[in-house]
Amino acid sequence: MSIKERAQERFDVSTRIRGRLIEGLELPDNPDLVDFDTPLVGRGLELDSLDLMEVVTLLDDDYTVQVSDDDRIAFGSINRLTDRVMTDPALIDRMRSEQDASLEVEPV
Amino acid sequence: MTRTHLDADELRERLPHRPPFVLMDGVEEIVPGVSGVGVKNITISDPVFAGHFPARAIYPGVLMIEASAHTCGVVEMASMEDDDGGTPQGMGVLAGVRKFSFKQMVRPGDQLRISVHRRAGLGSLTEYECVLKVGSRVVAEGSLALAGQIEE
Repeated sequence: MSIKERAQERFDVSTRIRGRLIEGLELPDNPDLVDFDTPLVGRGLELDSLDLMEVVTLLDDDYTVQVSDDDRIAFGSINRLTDRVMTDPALIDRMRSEQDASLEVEPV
Repeated sequence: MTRTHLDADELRERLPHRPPFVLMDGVEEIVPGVSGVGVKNITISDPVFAGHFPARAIYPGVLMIEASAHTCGVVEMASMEDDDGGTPQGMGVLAGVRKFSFKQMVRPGDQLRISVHRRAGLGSLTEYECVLKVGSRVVAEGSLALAGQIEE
C-alpha cells in the first residue's frame, strides 16, 4: 500500500469515527468545534463516562475493536481513536485475511 | 454454583429493593455478567393502576425501565457472587438510560419478558441492551448503564 493510500485509509477511518460520534452523541456537525484533534474529555468536548462507553460500543459495532479501561489514552481525540483502531492486532489480522481472500483468483 | 434461574422468593433475598419496589417475578437464563431474561407479570392488583390510569390501565414506561434495571442488576450481581454462589459482593446501580423507546402498550394480563445483554463495559460502568417483549411483540427497547459498586 502506498503512502497516499495509507493516508487516505487513515482519513477515511477518522472521518467515519467522527461521523459516528456526531450521530451517536448528538454532537454539533461543525469542523471548527469537532475536528480530529479536539480533546474528547476535559477541555474540549467534555464527554462523561457514559459518553465514553457509547464510544466503546461504536468502535465495537463498527470495527469489532474492544477498547478497555487500560486504553484510556485512546479517548484523547478522534485521531487517538483512529490510532487505536488502526493498530488493533485482531483488526489487522482480519483485514489481511480479507485482502488475501480478495487476491485469490477464481478459476475461469 | 451460580443459579441460572431465580424465582420471586430468591429474588427478594438477592435484590436490595423491597416492596413495593420489587418489580420482578423471576429471572431466567442468567449468564453472570452477560445476559438474562427477567419475567414480570402485569396484574390489575398492582397499586400503580389506581393512578395510571383510573379509566384505562397502562403499565408505566418508567417502571419498565426500572424492571429492566432490576434484570440487569441481577445479571451483574450474579457475576459478583462469591465462589459458593452465596451473597453477592456488590450491587449495580442505574447510571444511565439511553434511547429507550416504547412501541406498544403493556396492560394487565400481559407477561413482560425482559431480555438484557451486556453491550460494553468501561471501568465500573456496564451497558446493557434491553428488549422487552409480550409474547412475540417487542413492546419496548433501549439500553441502560449500571455502575458496579463493590461492598467493602
